[in-house]
Amino acid sequence: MKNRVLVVDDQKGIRRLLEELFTKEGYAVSLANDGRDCVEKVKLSVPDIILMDMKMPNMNGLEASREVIRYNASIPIIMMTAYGEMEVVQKALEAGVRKYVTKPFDIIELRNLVEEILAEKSVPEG
Amino acid sequence: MVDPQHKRLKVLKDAKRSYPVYRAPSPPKSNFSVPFKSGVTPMTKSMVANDAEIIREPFDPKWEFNTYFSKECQEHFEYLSQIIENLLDIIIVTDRRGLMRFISASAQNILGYDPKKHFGRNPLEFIHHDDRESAKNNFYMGLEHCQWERIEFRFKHSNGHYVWLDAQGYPFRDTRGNMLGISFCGRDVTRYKQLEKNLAEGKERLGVTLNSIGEGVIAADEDGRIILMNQIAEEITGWTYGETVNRSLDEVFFLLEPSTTRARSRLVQIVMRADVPVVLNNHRLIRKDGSATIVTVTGNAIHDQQGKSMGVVIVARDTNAELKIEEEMIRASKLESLEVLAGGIAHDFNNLMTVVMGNVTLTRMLLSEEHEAGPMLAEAEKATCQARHLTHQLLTFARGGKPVKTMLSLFPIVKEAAGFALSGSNVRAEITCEEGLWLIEADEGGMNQVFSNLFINAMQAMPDGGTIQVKIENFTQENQEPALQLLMEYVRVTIQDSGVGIPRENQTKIFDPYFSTRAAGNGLGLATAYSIIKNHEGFIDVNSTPGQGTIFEIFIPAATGQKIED
Repeated sequence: MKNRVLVVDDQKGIRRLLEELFTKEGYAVSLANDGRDCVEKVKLSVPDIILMDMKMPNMNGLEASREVIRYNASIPIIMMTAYGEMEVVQKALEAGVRKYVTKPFDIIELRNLVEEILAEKSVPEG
Repeated sequence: MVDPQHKRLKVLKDAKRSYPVYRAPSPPKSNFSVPFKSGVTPMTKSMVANDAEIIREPFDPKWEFNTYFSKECQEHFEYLSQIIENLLDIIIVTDRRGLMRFISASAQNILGYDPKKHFGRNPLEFIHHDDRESAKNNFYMGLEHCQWERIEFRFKHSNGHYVWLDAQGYPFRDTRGNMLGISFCGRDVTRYKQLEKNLAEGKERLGVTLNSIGEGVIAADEDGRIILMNQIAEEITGWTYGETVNRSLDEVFFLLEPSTTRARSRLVQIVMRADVPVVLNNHRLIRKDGSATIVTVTGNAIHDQQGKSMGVVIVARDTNAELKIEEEMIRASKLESLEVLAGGIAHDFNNLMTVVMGNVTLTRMLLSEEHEAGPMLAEAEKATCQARHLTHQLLTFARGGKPVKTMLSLFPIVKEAAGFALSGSNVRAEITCEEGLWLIEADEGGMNQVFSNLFINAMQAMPDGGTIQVKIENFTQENQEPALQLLMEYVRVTIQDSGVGIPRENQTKIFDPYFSTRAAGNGLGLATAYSIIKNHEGFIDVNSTPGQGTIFEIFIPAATGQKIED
């Protein structure tokens, strides 16, 4: 079964890029264009990993992350920030976000990071 | 016994020969001349009488003349007596011992004494004890050496107060040249003395007032010669008041018009011609040592009672510090807007860059390694990496607002930043650090960036290599007062290079974003450093001498309660 990646970003170009990348890498990719959309999609179908933008309309990445974690804390979230504001990143990490990458990122590195996290996740605990 | 008539004739004859002759303007009966300084004086009797007789017997001129002189002479004497009686000045004649033998009638008005009652008394009795010595010396100098200096002394009035007399004496001789005494002419100068005293007091008050004013005050006469200058004016111009004697205002107060090298000369004429006060804002004043400061000048003409200009008063305020604060505020506000703008642009730009970079990488992944588009895509990838570095700089500059602070020591940060920035160059840093350096509460990454940027800047200023002197120390208000307000304790880092220096015209711009004089510079290094330090409630000061180097001083608030570093 394919790993499911949920890409959350208000920038269409980024959604399409990451959809293209992870589809080619064999993932099942779904897209959300803001935080609220993300939370709704998570409730409909739980992804294996979420790539979450920080600054978005309606609901920002930090709020959406908190909602998702409250709903299902086992879903790993990678925060994508174009602003690099350490204070917000710090809050996101404290809220339970697993990792963060700063835009513009290297997609190879992002792919490796996703693989790494999913590999960790697949290892049974204990 | 000497024949009185013979004596009289001889006196007149000798007098005519030896002394200047006074010609009366309108003689009562016929044209005649009177030997004013000898013969007809009341002292004639002393030539035939001894001093003891004189003292015993107060002198009566009429008796003398009735006895010894003809009626005509008596009329002449009467005529002269009337002139003397009419004088506003006091005439006192003393004998050799200094005892008064004649006192003119004006003494009554000026000193309140009846002259007749004071014959035979010594005038020194009436002279103020502080002035007595010099009056006495003058008397003896006159008597023995025929030298008399014009002196001023206080003479006691009959009602007890003192009257200032400006007196001149003249030795009095007989026909054989024997000294008989001294004739004094004294003028009441009490009023002038009081005016002089008032003037001196006014001058003192003016001096104290002028020196209490926080602005430079210079007064010049109509020819531009400096006649007054207060201490602040001395400080602003670099000239002492003593040095300005015989110098013109234009030389001492050498002004250049704002942002030009054009001299603002003939200031006195400009101010004197103007009907209203002349105000010159932000002119450059060239000080005595050639350095410049910025002043705002107000000039007012001084008028006499007829309204004619007599000169000018120039008031100058050194506005250098004010301008610095103003510039600082403008820069801070400009930076604030730029930070918002830069942050917004960087955010959107990074999103777009992500798409560009990602798609380039993706395309490369899809193509075989040998594909001919490979090198071009690699170039595009490289350029996007450079663009990423630029946005990173922009973001650092923009996001300085909220640093993530931890307790840290500046020494390892400065050391690491120097090592990193200067590696591979011919410039080295010599770092000294005060023992017991206070900790600071700061964003480590931000601090690293500040010092890296400053070291890169210093290194680029030293193309021929050399050593950068770095000093890290504790700093309190007691040490010295920097340009900006100090309210707390700081850690100060001084970075001194021996490079090319910053031209004066650029010194106010170096912290402006995108200002750079170097081809490779992006103009964000110092702006970013400034922004980060400002957001740590610290400040940067810069002093640069073109051709000699630049000193940056960075003040960062010390962490309270965490002062001593182990």
